[in-house]
Amino acid sequence: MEPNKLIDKYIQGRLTPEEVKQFNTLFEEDPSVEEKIVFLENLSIVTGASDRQQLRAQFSVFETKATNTTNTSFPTYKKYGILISIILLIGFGAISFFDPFTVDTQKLYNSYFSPYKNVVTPIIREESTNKEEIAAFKHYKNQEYHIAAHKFDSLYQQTQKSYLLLYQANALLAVKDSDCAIPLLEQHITLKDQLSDRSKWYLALAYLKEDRRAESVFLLQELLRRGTFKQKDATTLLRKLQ
Amino acid sequence: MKNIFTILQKGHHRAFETIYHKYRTAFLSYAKKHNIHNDAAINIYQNALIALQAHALKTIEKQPNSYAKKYLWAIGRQLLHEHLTANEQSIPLLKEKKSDIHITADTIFREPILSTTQQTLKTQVAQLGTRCRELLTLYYYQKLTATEIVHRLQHESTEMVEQQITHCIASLKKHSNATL
Repeated sequence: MEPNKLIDKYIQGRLTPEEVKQFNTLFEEDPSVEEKIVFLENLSIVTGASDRQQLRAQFSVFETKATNTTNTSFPTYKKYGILISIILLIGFGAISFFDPFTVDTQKLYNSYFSPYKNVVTPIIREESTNKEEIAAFKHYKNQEYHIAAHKFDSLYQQTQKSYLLLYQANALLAVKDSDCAIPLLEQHITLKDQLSDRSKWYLALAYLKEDRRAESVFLLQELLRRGTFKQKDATTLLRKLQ
Repeated sequence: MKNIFTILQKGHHRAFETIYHKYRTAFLSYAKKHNIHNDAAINIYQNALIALQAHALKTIEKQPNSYAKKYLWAIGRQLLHEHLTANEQSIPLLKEKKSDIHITADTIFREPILSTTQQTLKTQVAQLGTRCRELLTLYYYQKLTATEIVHRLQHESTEMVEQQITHCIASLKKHSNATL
């Protein structure tokens, strides 16, 4: 068997007794095998960490749904009212599906998205502010978003400062990588810091970019209920979506 | 319904929405009875689910339908017990039935603290394309075979999957050499 395949099977714990013998010989004869194994074991650990991070972000969405369901205890007549509204919404939804002038979520996203300004490291910086953090925000300000995203990620790993997730996600959104930005924003919301409502706005936009309208609408409504950020924009965007 | 544990063994996230809502209320009520704050109980519940996933990915044998529920409760009980001990609250009896799965503190999954090398690698993986990240996670973390990945992602062939994984590893190594 080809050495790399043998190493992969070892990492996956799928070696047959015959392959174990081959693997042992390879390990003894080729000094580079150990290095490859360390690399792949690390890869297994870090992909696992990211996978669980993604899972935790999903849990926060489930939790929001569960909390809303628990808190919404309506009398029967209201339940019928909601049911009728849903039927009407589906009806209008079906009409808009066949409507050639239907809402273009990409266009809406483009017209509403602009990266969140730096409110963390002000122009007159405190001495205590980390130099690397200042450098990251400098890249962010200069619209060097790829570098900024990379730096925010490293800084978050080192410091666990929650707001870095918001800025990393914004940098990623600025380079149209909503796919990577979404789990970061979901995670930031669960951490409930002072800027988490900002993440709700940007997550609503990111969902819009991915054409996940229902989730986007849900977040915009939540944002309006809280009344803390982007009230005007959230109102107009919600109207356009509905 | 299909065996939930079998779905988790294949690393599917989709099983979690069902599990999450299915046992949440009972778990939170159980925690409440032991005077554990709701936010802490939710956190413990989510950690128990994460530990269940990690356990499922390491388990090769088939398990009966009730296994996921029993295992989740066993981890949950252990984590609740640890929470109470850490907060120096009087420890109530978190009763186990004879049929329950017994879990101890050292057999439970804990999130590893990443070394500097691993943190750098994590950043580099995050910079790969979505498809590469997905393939590497399925292959090296969830330990699916190329054939299982073909079914999961509806790829054309195992050869194609293997080629793409080789390509992803090569880009990752190229990137890590450039960083060093």
